[in-house]
Amino acid sequence: MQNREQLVADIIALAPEQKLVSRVRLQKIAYLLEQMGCDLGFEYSYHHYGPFSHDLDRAILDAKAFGLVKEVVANRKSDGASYSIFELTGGNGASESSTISSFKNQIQRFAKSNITVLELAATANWLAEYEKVEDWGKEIVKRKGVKTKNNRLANALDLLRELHLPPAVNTQ
Amino acid sequence: MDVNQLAMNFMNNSRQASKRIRDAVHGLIVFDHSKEIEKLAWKLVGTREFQRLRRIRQLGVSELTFPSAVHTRFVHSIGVFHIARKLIEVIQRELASDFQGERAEVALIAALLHDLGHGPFSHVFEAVQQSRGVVKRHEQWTAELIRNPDGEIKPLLEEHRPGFTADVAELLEAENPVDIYHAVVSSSFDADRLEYLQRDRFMTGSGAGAIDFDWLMDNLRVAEVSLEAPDEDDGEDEDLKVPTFCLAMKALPAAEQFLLARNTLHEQVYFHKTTRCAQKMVGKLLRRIAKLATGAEAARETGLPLNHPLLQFYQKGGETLAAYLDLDDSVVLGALSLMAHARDALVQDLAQRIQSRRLYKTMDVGEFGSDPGRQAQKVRDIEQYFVQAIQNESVIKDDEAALNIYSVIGGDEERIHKRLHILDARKPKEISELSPIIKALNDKKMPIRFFFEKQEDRDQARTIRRERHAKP
Repeated sequence: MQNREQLVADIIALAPEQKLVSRVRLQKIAYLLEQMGCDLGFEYSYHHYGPFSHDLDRAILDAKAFGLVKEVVANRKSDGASYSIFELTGGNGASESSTISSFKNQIQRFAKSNITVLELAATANWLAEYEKVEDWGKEIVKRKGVKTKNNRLANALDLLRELHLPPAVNTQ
Repeated sequence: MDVNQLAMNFMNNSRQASKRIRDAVHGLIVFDHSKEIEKLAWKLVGTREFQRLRRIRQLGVSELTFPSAVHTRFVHSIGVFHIARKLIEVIQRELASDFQGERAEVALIAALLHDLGHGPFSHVFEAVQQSRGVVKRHEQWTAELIRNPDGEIKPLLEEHRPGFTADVAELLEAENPVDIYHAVVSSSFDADRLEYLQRDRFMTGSGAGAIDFDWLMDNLRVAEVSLEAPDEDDGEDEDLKVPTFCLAMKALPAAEQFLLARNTLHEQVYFHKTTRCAQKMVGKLLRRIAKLATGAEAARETGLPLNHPLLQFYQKGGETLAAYLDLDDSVVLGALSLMAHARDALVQDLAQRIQSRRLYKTMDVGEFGSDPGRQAQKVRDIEQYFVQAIQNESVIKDDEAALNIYSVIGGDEERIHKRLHILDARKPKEISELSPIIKALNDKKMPIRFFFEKQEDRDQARTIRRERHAKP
């Protein structure tokens, strides 16, 4: 298995312009890739933005420490909320042998997706697959509240369907 | 008797009937019995579920590092109630005629009961459960205890108002805020945070960082922020905006101090390496007890009688509300003298060590210099050398602490409504955009520590060089 910090750099290398915005997005991308069969080896638990990997968070820090990735902090226009922009430092791109090189199209798609839609897609999958919540539809509305409205949950399920992932698609 | 006399008598009677608690941090806390909601609060304090919090320390094993930090979740919860009342006054002032008294009552009682579901040593117990594959956080236990039809809480809540139980439990369970009343229990200025920062600072004896509480409260306002996780989108979706507490610009220096105080407490108290080590040891002990609890020789192996609450809880199917209520810090600490005679060598060793504070030897990777690359490489070297010892937990790696202005164990991005906002031209702005001091603390640090059962292993770890092979 590749070093975890290298996996972080590879995900960023495959994003448009080798740039990825938001830690939450990076977390959800890695989670969804893992569900699609990309063996990254990160472990997840449920946090307030859905499935979250502490290992991945640590790997991001290591990627910065080993000089593979740089992080710039920017602020959202409406309320100044700070968020991270990750870029490669070397600009060498993902290694051909990388576990994830065959997932370039999906990473490009996720990089442009609405962040709440990604959060909802990862959470719906987590509830159904890991917490085994039978009525995951009711549970996600309970947990995510207003975030599920305005077609965002429907869009998240469309995304899962496109990726052939449960609960939008029955894989049993 | 004239009307004035009657009013005076009524006030005197209410005053006499009211209950008072003298508190080291907040002074006199009065439960005003002329108000039904405060009468209810006092009755809730008297329930078995709430009284159990007297036996759960707010800072768990921190007492081994800060001996005066023996305050409990009981006194903290009463302090939270006291501050929640003040926050509700702020909401009333800000919302004026839009203020909803019934929602405020829900928030006030939710604040009082917010910690009911903590287990012994709080987060340590939760982590042990998680390692056993049980995904049930203390917030879920709290909601269950409130809704428990056989408990003492629900009848009191329903007596106050039918449906009140569900309202309180739902407010505590909600992951995202639905209105400003939710901010009393979850926001950058929620009652819990405002209480524990003051009390923990006082009880640990930490002189670092002060909180200008009165000035902050006076400058508290209500404004809307977006719930959406932050990225380059503008965050202008109207339906994702929720009201939360923000501060007027003139409170910016006090807000900076507040965050610096919080940061200092995290760095020096909550993430103190000795405390983290003790937490890991208690966790290791509880995990071992849980493993042995289902065996045929459970009593002999653990040193505990079969009806001990720990063995009862860790039995297959034993994780009931009733069994959970029987667990607290004192049950575990009181069992150490029995566990010290356990047949299982690990239980015996850990119990004796914790009893006598003979903790594992700690090492912070920061001692190898501040360069993150060098630290990360050192971690790799130690992990490689002690691969076997880490597996059997005679060497423990602790990489869970995360330090920045919004430090949280686990390290996930802090939610927007839990971040601190300042009103800039009447629009909320996250403080890091306005304050260079706070911006400098935005960079996340995740200190790594190793805890060694044997001193010689720690000595060895300090001298490992990259080319050496793994320890046989």
